[in-house]
Amino acid sequence: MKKWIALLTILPAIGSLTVVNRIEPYVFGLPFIVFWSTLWLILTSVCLIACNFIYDRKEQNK
Amino acid sequence: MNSSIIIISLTLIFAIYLGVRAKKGREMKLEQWAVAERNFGSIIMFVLMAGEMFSTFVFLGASGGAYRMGGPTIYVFCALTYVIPFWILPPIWRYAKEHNLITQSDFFAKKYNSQGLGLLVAAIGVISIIPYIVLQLKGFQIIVSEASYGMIPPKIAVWIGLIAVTIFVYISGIHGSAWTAVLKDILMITVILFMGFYLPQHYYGGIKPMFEALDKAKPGFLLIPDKGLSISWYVSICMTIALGQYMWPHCFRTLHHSYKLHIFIALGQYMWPHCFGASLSSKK
Repeated sequence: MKKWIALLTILPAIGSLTVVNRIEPYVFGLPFIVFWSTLWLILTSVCLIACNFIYDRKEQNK
Repeated sequence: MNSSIIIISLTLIFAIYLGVRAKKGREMKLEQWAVAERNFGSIIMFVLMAGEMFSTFVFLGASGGAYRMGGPTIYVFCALTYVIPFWILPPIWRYAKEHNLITQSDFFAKKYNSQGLGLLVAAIGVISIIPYIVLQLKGFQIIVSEASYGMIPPKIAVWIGLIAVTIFVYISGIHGSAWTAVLKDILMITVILFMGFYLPQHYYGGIKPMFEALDKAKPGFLLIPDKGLSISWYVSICMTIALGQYMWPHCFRTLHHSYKLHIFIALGQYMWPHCFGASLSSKK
């Protein structure tokens, strides 16, 4: 199942916390950890939309 | 009478009007009432789900959690929940459509060919939704009584809310929920955006200065601590929420509305600051 790729998107989000659990540097005024988790929220959406275009469109047409 | 009472009453009347009007031109059979004949478009689906998932939690739970826990509250941003329907949604939606299933217990009874299992699922669903509803109403009465500066007593607020919801859900079913959700979503986004930008600006002169002041006042509060609500806690709560979300009877039911939904779940996430559930009413 190629869809398992979607799961990969989440690994950086929850696997990287030991490294990103810090306040500096501030990005857009947010502490780094808050920025990082928000960033992955958006990136996960982007990945899911990509997955939908790449795989699901084909399945729906079957 | 002050202005807040007028605003609350107008909003309430408008919500009831939208909810009741949603029925217009439709013959209310059970399938229409419960899952809109599985024919909701993407946008209304999106709004409905937002309405089901973004409850009083946004204003009371999430902000209260952030105040109490600090850093670990970022679990509300965890998007794992929205990745799960990628696998479970399409097969459930197809199976439910094929067999004309409407509720979660219908699905389990049919799929596993066991009336007993269906009954059990229904019973657990009803029992476990009670504390959830109580919590929602509790949150609702706090919000309404605070918003009216105490002029509407909490007990009255909760009864007015309950009666209003019962009227439009009874008349219009899922259409009523969807249309009032439109109103709710617009109001909520407005308030969230306003508070999110205005309050830090007003009190601290910007978002960054606010976080800096917070960090200075309570060093480490913005981070995930080494013990207690640690990183392992964060990972396990994200997984629990991701897997548990679709066991909610209302999330599961909304699953029937739509197939394409997961895109919208995904889209919706970054519009609201916390988790979002799934939903059986969209066009395929």
